[in-house]
Amino acid sequence: MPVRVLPRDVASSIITGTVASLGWAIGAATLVLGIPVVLETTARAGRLSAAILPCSLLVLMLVSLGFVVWRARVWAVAAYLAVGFVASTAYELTLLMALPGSIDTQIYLLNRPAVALVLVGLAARSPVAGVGWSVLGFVVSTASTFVVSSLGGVPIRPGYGPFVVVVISLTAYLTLWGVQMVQRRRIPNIEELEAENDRLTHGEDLALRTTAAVHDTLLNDLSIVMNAPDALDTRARSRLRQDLETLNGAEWLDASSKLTVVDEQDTSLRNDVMRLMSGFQWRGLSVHVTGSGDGIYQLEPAIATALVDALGAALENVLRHSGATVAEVELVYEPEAITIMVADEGVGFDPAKVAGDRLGIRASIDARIAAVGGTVQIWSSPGSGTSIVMTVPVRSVLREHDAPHHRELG
Amino acid sequence: MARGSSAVSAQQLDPLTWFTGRVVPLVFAGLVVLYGAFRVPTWLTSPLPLLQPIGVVLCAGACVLVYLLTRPLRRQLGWAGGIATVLIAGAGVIVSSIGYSGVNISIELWWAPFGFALAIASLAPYLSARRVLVLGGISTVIVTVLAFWFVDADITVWGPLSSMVIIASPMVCGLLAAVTFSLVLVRRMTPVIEQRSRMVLPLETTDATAEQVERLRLARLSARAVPFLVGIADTGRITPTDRALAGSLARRLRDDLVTQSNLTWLDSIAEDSRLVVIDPEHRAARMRPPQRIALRSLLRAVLDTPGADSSSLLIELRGRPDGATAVGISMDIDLPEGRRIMHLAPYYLTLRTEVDDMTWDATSLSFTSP
Repeated sequence: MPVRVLPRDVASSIITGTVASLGWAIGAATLVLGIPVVLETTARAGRLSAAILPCSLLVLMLVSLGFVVWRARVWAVAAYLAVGFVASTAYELTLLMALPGSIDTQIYLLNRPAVALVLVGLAARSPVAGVGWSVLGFVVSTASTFVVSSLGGVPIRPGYGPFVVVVISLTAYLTLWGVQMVQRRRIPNIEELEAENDRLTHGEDLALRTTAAVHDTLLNDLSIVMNAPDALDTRARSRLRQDLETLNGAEWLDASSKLTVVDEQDTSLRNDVMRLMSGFQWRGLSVHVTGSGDGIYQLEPAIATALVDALGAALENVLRHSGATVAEVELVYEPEAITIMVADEGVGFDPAKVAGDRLGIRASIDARIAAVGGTVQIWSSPGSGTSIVMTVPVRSVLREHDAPHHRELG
Repeated sequence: MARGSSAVSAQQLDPLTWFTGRVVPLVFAGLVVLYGAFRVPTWLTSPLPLLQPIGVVLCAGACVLVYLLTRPLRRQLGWAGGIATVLIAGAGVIVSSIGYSGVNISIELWWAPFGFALAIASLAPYLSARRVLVLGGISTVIVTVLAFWFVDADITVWGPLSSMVIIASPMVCGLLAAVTFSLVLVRRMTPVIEQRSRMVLPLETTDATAEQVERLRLARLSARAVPFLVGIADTGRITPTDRALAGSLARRLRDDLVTQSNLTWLDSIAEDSRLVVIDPEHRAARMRPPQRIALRSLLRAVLDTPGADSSSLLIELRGRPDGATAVGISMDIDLPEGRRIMHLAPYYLTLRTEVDDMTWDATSLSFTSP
């Protein structure tokens, strides 16, 4: 799971795009707010009918603006500038004909479309593009003023509006550019940090597997040597060799990188469990299994391995520490999970008082099952036995067992 | 995200951008001063010319206030900060309109509504769209009406409706810009962040270096026991000396395994630094990957800080009755506050997105890992 912080390039792109939306909104507001000014000013001059065309042109620019927002393509923005140029020129000429004195005192009224044209510069995805569009919009609006001057025979007076807007736009984009520059220097690279965390997590996972494997092989074998009779029988020697081969191979160190294709008829998990129980029965622990049936449930290879190893560790605990000679193993199957309960009626223990240096349950059961997304619950108290319940997720159910919740390990 | 786009601020979603982007209100303050200065000739036409610079200072001051209230270690800007900002900027407009009362000015070039608009816009990254709309909407209406009341009698070029629209236009545009910015940014950013937080990072399963390191560790752990057990398996005989040696090897092996099992990811940092880790309950192992990434990067940044006494860096993790983990970090960094903040704040802000109840001062940092 990554950190809830966006990589800087993603955040910068979203922010620049948002500023573009902001420009469209201000442009639209400028055009809309221009309409009542046109209406009142022409009405005061007794030329209300002359407001129809300018207002229509403002509406045309609004529609064009809406189209650009809808399409959001470069050609649409260019088309808006072209339409805007024509509309702005026609707007100013129409008003100048109706209100000849407005060129001296009411430039604000005349340059509303020109201001909206400059705001098209905010349709950008990067600060550099934003600057380019702003300058282009300003050039188009200024060109419109020149054409009006030429056709209308009036002085060139673009007013301060377009200039102020282009200054604000350029300031906004330069600020944004500066912010993004600072970010590149100061902000941690989240993706690099996540990659480093992955590497460390992988290393920790490998260390965990090694600890569990060494505990279950070397440590147990040394314990056998300490407590065995002077002569080891063939089976005990074979077990020692098997454990040493496991250590030499160290396959668990690259197990997670393997992609295992599971055969539907694969019964390796069941066979592993049966072999495990047979081994414990031979060592003097009677294992009673309940919950078997004819269902077929598939587990991820890593989960199956963890489950068998954890089951082995649980039975090892019964054999070595409980004092009991019988262990009950119950298999409970549900569509999403398999649960294995290992219970004994031995001496039990107080889980809260287990010393921090005891590895058996922590490394061999808890950590193994947790590492594959499962859960472990332990109930025990001195004198009343122990129950260990391990639950792991199922990948798929090929065939459900008849008896609900009590199905065969497949 | 449970809350709608209008209820979350851009800063809440993306604190890192607005840490580096906190200069924005200062830029706006600069624009206010620049535009106000551009209209200095009109100040002199007023019977009370001093009111204009006072108004400029108030409007620019409102932007500066936003800058000060949003410094990295402060809490999120709330209603109080927003109200203070619009009150100061609004006062600037009113003061300016009183100054221009009785003067025939070009209201379309009046700097004050423009200054108010920039003050509202400076709130955009730090307040939710809803709050900006409420604060900006109400204040725009009130300021427009009051300003119109003071200056309208002297305006001859425009009709009353046009005057009001012209006065309100910059403020409406500023408000619209702020609301649009906050709303659109949050709406666009939220799904990206949520998608990212749901993403499962591919685990490095082919890290040959890590596997090699682990194989070496395994070789070290088993160096003495394996040859011993091979001999036992070959002969099938166990002598009292073998039993004693097996016991000795088992004890040593067990100690090594316990030591390894007790190590957490924090200890891996401590191994190659002078970080002191106090984590008797192994609480570090319970932290989620994003919390680890954020905390690890902060600790690395502290260790890399020039002037930091790396031997003073201590982290302590303790369980709380509610199951959460309380984390405390103490450090001794001999840097001026400004430089310390600039260096560490990005890491602090990253960590703050992943933990609760975070506090930070010059020598310590604490938070709760839920």
